[in-house]
Amino acid sequence: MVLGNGTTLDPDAILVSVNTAADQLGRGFLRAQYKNTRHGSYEDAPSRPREARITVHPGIHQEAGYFDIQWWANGDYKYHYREQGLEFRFGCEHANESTTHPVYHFHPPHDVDSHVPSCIGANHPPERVTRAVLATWWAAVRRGDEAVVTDPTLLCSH
Amino acid sequence: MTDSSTPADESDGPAVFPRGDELPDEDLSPDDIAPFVADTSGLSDINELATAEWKASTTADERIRAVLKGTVSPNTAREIADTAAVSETKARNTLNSLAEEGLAAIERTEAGTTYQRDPDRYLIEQIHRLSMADDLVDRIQAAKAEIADYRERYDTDTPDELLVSDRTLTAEELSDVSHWRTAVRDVEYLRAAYRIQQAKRRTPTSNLETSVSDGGPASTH
Repeated sequence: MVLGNGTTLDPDAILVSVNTAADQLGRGFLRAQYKNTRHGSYEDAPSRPREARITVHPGIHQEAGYFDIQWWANGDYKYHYREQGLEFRFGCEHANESTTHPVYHFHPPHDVDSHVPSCIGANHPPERVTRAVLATWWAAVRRGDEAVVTDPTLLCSH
Repeated sequence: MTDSSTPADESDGPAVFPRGDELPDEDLSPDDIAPFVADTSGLSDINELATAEWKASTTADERIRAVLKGTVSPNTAREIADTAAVSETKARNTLNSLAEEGLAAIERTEAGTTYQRDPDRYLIEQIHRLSMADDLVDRIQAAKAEIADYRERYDTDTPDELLVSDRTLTAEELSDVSHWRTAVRDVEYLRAAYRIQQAKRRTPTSNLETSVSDGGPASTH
């Protein structure tokens, strides 16, 4: 199973996600870089981006972190956060319908290979998904503790 | 530009994080940034919070346009209203206006009215945005080189032929199909953008510059 399930990347949704993060984070948004071909190096200018990497500040335990962001034409997405010593990922992978893994899933810190159900709503546009992901990250930044993202059930309404 | 030592998605490795010159000069505290209007400390539902933040920074019209832009299949006004966090009446009125502007394709059946983005208008906006770039020839060559790599690796002319071949595709190979299809589409878009650019240069009094005022998402630069 794989993100996108063979459909094209969605450069428009990737750019919307970056613009949303920039608007939302203001001075906490340090930089955006783009991969405009699959194995090309990161560039400052987007053309038809396959992936965006944004640098955000501050980190949870470090000064800064990366979010690597991708969207596909079938609605799949990946938001992969990394700072030194810590990573987690929010994903939507429709091909998971034929597996035991949830379509909307979360790879928690310290156990990134596991799939736990994500609280992010189905069929949300990049404007909403980006804000939900950032709000989760920000809650961890405020607490200086990733525990809030380790247990995503804390983030669901009960 | 291709790093052959990293055939897989090296970006999935854990040892990638900001360092050195990427770190900020000034030392900002979380209080200096305060990116959310809502209080995230007692985070209860991230979807509600995300929606509240989106509403705080946009108008209803902007959200309806944003949602419409992501529609590749027919949606009812109710569905678009839910996604855009607006009332159904507001969504229907705005969508009807957007249809008059040519941004929304409207379909009326006995079952009701549906809306989706106008595919031609969307395509033209994407190409128009690309036509502003000054390195289109390099971009075309990079995408062509990527396609040539896939053709050689799979000894197949197109990604769709690879999909229907006898071969059972691994996740990595299916990911190649995504990128291969994307590269094929990108070459088409980039070539069209290049032709527009050439046409503009040959037409001194061209009014193409202003023909599409709502030209897709703004670049961050």
